[in-house]
Parts: sequence; structure tokens; C-alpha cells
Amino acid sequence: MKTTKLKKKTGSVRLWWIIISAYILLKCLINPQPVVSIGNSGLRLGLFNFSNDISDPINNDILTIQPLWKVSAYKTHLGKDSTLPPLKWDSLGNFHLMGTDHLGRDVFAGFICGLEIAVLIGLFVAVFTCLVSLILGVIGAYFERFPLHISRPEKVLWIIFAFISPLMLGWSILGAMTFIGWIWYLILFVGLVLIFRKVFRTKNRILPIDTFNRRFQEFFQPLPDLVILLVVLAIFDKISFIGLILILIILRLPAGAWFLQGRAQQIVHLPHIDQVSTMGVSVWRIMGLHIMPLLKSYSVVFMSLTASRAILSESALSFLGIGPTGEWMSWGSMIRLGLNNMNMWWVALFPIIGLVGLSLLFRFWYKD
Amino acid sequence: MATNQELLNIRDLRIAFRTDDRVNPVLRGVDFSIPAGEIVGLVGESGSGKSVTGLSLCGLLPEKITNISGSVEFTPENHPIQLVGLPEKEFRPLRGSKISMIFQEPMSSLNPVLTCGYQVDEMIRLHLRYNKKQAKANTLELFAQVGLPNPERIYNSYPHQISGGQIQRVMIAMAISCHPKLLIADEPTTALDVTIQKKILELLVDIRDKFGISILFISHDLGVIKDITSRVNVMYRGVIVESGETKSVLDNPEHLYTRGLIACKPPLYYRPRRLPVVSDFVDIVANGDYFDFKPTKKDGVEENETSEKTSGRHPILSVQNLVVKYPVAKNFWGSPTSWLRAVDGISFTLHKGETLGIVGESGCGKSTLGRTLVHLEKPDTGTALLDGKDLFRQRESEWRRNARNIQIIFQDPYSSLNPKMKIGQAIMEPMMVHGLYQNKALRKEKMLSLLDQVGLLPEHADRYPHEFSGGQRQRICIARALGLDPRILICDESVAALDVSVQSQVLNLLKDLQTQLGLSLIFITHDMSVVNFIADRVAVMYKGKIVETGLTEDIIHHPKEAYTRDLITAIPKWA
Repeated sequence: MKTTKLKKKTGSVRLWWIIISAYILLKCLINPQPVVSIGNSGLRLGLFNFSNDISDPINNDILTIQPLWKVSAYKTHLGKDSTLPPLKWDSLGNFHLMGTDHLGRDVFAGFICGLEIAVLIGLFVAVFTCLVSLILGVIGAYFERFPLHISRPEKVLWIIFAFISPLMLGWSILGAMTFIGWIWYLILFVGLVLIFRKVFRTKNRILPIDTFNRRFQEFFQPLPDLVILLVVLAIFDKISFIGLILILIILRLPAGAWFLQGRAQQIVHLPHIDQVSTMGVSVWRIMGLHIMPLLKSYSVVFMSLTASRAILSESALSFLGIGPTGEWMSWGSMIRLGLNNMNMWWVALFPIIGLVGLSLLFRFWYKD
Repeated sequence: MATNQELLNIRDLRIAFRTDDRVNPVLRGVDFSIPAGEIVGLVGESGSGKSVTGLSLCGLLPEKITNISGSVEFTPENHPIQLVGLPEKEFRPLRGSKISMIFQEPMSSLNPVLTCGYQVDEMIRLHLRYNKKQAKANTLELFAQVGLPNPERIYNSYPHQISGGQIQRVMIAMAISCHPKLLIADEPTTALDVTIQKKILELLVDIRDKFGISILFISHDLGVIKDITSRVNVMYRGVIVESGETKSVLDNPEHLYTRGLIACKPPLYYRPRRLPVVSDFVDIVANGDYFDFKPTKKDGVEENETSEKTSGRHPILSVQNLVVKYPVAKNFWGSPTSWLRAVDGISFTLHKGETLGIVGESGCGKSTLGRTLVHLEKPDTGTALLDGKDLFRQRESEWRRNARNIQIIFQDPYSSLNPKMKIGQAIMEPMMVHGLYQNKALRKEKMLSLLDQVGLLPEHADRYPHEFSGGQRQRICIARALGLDPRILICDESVAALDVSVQSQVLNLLKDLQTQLGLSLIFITHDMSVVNFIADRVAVMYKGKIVETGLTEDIIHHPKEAYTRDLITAIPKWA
């Protein structure tokens, strides 16, 4: 029993190593810029730098390692043979596996760039959404099983807080409330809660943390992703890579917390949680050591669904031409280009295949 | 066939379940027969294959993963039908109309969104081709026959609206609705209280007499088997080790395993110092497919008639007027309008080193009482004084610190351990939280000694809970509780989910530990014979109140209250 388990674990770890090393090898072979260069400007790893900065090697570099096959998604090559179908050589003698677009940029290199962006967005959004919603969900579930008893005046205080805070938020958006104001507001509230706890000892009311969580999730879950993204883009007319990831996390958070809180509520009612609670184990320990590890499989399922969805959202934005483009080549913008010029079918086809393939791959992720 | 008498004839039935890498044999050649119009018992411990036998007779085993061989001849009319290998299409008309089955869990065997009446009607309309009106009349008649009060009301109620005993009656009505020849009852009374169990058993005998149905009664409880069956087959790991007339088998068991099984059951009318376990009688050596049963030297029961303990009479815990209530109905604003008083004004005192048994039927509030003492439920009023300090008037940080004084062991050993935690870690965790030992090495040392104390091996510490059997897990739970050096140990139905032989081992262990460590035990159970073995004093609970309390012998032999008397007489007579 034990040995089979160990075997399985090493198997999956080995798989990850194979994937990572294969990727690095691929990048050493095919890269728009020198893989490594050491010179006046220090050590530069072109391997993990997928920006459009394709500087030629500086002459006095001590060491440069060129990739075997230098293709660039950004370098234009204008001429008679600028628009090439797949599997063709151009006049400079460069081979284009997936052809080039009308500016002579290599589609295969763009495909690889888009893959990197897509995987990064997918993983970041999935992992961070899952972490935050795991914390929210477990807290909600725990306080559903073991409610927090408070006194009646304190409950009134919480209700007032719950009603005033959104008003304050609106106020601060209008500019009437500053950051310092928020800090004073929170200090006042926490101070009042602490004083109330000391003064009022009969605790016969319940602080409904779980219900509050649930209502919050139910309210924000049905908001459509793309519409919110468009609104945000209308407010800030440009969006950065990090900003996009943040918005996607916030958009997926209510669904994640909703899903994981539901699962956690099943676990919280198992006898082993009761058993641990009667042994005087602290709240945080119960949440972190006895509830969260049991949510692992559900988290993986949730992450796989979130990742593919995030990739699709990002591509949709790029497709509309309002994504975080300009800096990187992304699949969405390539599809847009290809669909606008249908004579270059290859420019759209390969990113579409990649998009479908990657989102399916992420969805089947949880199978192992 | 040789005789018309035999309704069912099983010869050399072998069943194995295939997994990915191997084949697990479950039945290794089972032979027995069921004569027409008789109740035949099949008794064994969990995992012995008795339920699989029952399911195979109904053709309900998953076909894809089952290897089945042997012969099962079923003779409902003149010619016998071979059930092994019968295609599903031909099996379906037999099921329900010729063979029917009753399962253990009454609550989950009826569809919760359909009325009871509708579900019985459906059977009748399907098999007997009655129209709606005839079917309803037939159902109501059946409900009256199985002794349901007010059949019209039951007909229109949903399963959750009626009690467990009533649901089991509906199930029986459903099973006999199409006049089957064979009824397979798979632990039909295990989930029920003793008083209800008694009535259901009477009903089954009654049905046999009235309709001439043969019943295969599968159970782990020898008392029940003795009450209603005429023949019995004792099963152990897929083989029938002994079979014959019930009376002769149980009075003069020939096989050593049967002898051990009978001796394991805690007796009701005398009080042994230790319970014998199966291994006192036989060394069961598994080699390949066969089991050697070798007699050991010890053969018999150490008897000790009297309750020996005269405890020091130091009260350790005194509970006064404890009330726990739950809101049943709420008004629009969320304030409760009516309450269910699960524990209704209970007072008792627990002395140092004694065992207090709390007995009652399901729903009497005995579990709530135990859970309240460990802060899993919030009491409404009342006090529980431990060392002069009220348990219920402590601040949260305070009770977490004092939690080690009272420990509880739950009923279900399968879910009371964190499945993702190695058991060594699980035992050490509470010690670490309470800072009982300075460093990890000391804690580990203590953990290993605890494992040894409850009869587990040091290498078990690195395993996960799913690698252990039910009895072993219960031992782990005990070790874990003892790691905190508790002064009071509450056992909430701790042996109810275990087999008789394992149950006796755990009970012996608890008794030994109590004498070694001077623990005070609160033993919550529904089983009078267990209480008789382990408890010094007994409190009988009924509807949230203690109706009678006193020394164990007094309660068992001279019960004063009518309720206690009912409870004791309802236990299947044994020995």
C-alpha cells in the first residue's frame, strides 16, 4: 500500500520535471534573442524574457549563446515574400514552420509567445483565486459549524458597520474619504468591538459570518465577466498584465468561495472535526490542518476550471483589441489579425487550435 | 429435485470481486439450503460475506467486477431456476415478485420525494398489473397487515414524516406485496431500538405464518437469530463454518469459532471481570484460501458474579439541572417560538474512578448530554462542576486550556480521524497543542508507549487511518484521548459500530485502562448488556430526563420503573 503511494507521487513529480526541462530545452533551441549573454550590462537570460526587446548581441559581450533557431514574433520583414504560408523559407533563408503574417513576423514564434502568456495568466489566476477563496470558504464553513457568540449590543454594532461600510466605499470613490480616513474608521470600529466585548458578558447572539459570506458570494457571482472587464477598461483606458490578472481573480473569487465553502461545510460536520475541537485545538489549527488539506482535490478541480476560463477571458479581450497587448504577442490578437485577413488563414488557425487545446488540457488537469 | 421442500439450494457458491490488479475472493464455497416456509439465519461478522450472499440471491451484484460460480437453485414453482448466470432480463420479473429484499438502513431505502403509499402501489401495479384503485386498496390492506396504525395517513406521508420502525414496516409491506416466495432480510433491525426491534421480529414471524414465505435472516446479532430462526448458518470469511438447528448450534456449538462468537457477547445476567475474545478460543491462521482453527488452552469464561468496586466516593464531576434545547419553529423575525428540550433538567454526580452508564433509546438525548459536556453543544441552563469550576461559565480560551480534562470517543471510528494525517502525528498533535511535553522526542516516546498500551505496534505510527480496521481505529482514538491524561473519558456509543469480537476487545481494553489510570468513565450506550459489563452505576434516560438511576445490578435485576423494565425485557433472550 505504502510503496504504491510513493511510486505514484514520484511519477507525477517526474512528469512535472519532464515538462519543465522540455520547455527550457525548447526555449534554448527556438528563441528570438540570445539565450544567455554576459557582458557590460551583466548577465541577461533571454530564456525567460518574452518581451519584444530583441536586441542584437552587443559587440563587447564576453559570452553569448545563440539559440539554434532564431525566430521572432516581432521582427518584421517587408518585401515581396512577407506573407508566407506554413513550411516555407523566406528570402533571408529563415524557415517559417507556421508561416508569417503580412508584416513578415513569424507565426510560430507568436504561437510560443501566446502560449507563455496564456499559461502564465491561467496559472496565476487559478492559484491565487483558489488560495483566497479557500481561506474565505473555510472561515465561512467553520463559523457555520461553531458559531461565534456575541452580545446583543455588539451585534447591533456589526449591523451598523455592515450598512455604513458600503456608503463609505462610495464616498471614498467620490473622493471625500481618504486612506487615513479609512484607517481611523477601522480603528474606531475595532476599538468599539473590543470595548463591547469587555462590557457585555451575556453572549446570546450569533455573528453570522457564514451567512454574510454566502450572501456576498450569491450577489457577486452572476455578474458577467466580460461586461465588468469592459467597464473597468472604460474607466482606466489601458490595462496592464498584472491589472488584468487582479481583475480576473476578483471576478472568479465569489464563485470559488461559494464552491469551496459548500465542500468545506460537508467536511466541518464530520466527527473528526468535533473530536479535534473537544481536544482544545485552536481555531486556526483546525482550519489549516484539519479542514484545508481535505479540500485539496476540490481545489484542483476548481483551479483547472478557473485557469481555462481565465485564458479564454484574456483571449477575448485581446481579440476585441483591448487586452494588455502592445507589449506581447497574444493568441487573441493573432486570431483577430487572421480573421480580418482571411487569406492568411494560418495566422488564425494555429492560435485557435492552441487555445482550444490548452483550455481542454487545463480542464483535464484534475484527472490525474 | 429430490424434495419439494427446499425452496432455495445453494451449492459451492463462490464469488470474487475483481480490482485492477487482483481478484478478492469474498465467498469461498458456500453451501446451504432454505426449506419452504422457514426462517433461516445467516450470522457472521462484518466482512464475512453474508450481505454479499444476500445480494447475489437477488442478482444485485455489479456484474462488471464480479466473478461468480457455483449453483443456486431456486424453486418457486415446480421446476427449479438456476440463478447463477441468469440474464438480467429474466431476473427482473423474479425480483420483487418471487424474491424480495429488506435492507438495513430504513431511512435511505425509500425514495424521499415520493409518498410511502405511492412507492408500494408502484410495485403492485408493476408486478401484479393492478389498476390504480385496486392497488391502493391492496396497499392499505397490506399496511394494516404489517401493523401500521392509521394506514390512510401513512399512505399519504413521506418517509421523513414517519418513524424508523414505521418505515421498516412499510418496507416489509412493500416486500411482501407481490407474494414472494423468499424474503431476504439483511440486518433489518440493526438500526432500530430494542423495543421496536422486538415488534418487527414478531411481525416477521407473523408474516411467515400467514403467507408461508421463507425468510433468509442475515444478522450479526446472535440474540436476534436465536429468537426467530429455526436453522442457522455461521459464516466466517466466506465459508460456512457451522450450520444446523438454531437451538442445537447455539446451545452446543461444535465449531470453535462459533463458540468464541457466542462467548464474546456480554451476558446480561452476570458480570464477568473480563470478556472472552474469539482468540481465547481459536487461533485463526490464514494460509491461502483456508483457515485453520486451532484450539488454544484457555477454554471457557472466567466468571465473577459480583460488582467488586467500592470506589473512594470522591465526586469529580457534578452536573446540576442541565437543559439543552433546540429551536423547532421560528417566527418571521427569526426568534424561536417553540423548543425541543433534548436534555431536560438532568442532574448526576460522577465519582472518581467509577463508570457511569447512560442508557436510553435513540433520540432520548443521551448523546446530546455527552456532547454538551465537551462544549460541542451549548447548554441553555445548568451547571457542571469540575474541581469547583463551572464548565459552562468559562471563557473560550479557558475551556480550550481545560479541554484535556474531559475527552470523548465517538461512535464511528471511520470518520473520527483525519484521513490525511498519520496516526502518530494525530496522537501527538493534542499533546503539542497543550504543551504537555517539552520537545518532540518526549512526545514521540509518549505516543509509542500509548500505542503499546492500546495494543498497537510502533510501526503503525507512520500509517494513515484508512489502513486500519474499525477496532484498531477505535484503539487509536482511545490512545489519542489518553495522550492528554484526561480525568474523565466519555464514550459515546463507542462500541456500537464494532463487531462482537472486536467490541469485547475494546471493552476489555477500556476496563483495563480504567483500573490502571484511575479514569472516570461516562459510558453512553443503547445496549444493556454492554452497560452490565462495564458500568458501576447506570442512569436510564427517557425523553431528555433520567428516569432511574442506581447500581448496575439493581437496575438490571430489579428495575423499578416500567420503562426500564420494558427496555430490559425487549432484549432478545440469551443464555
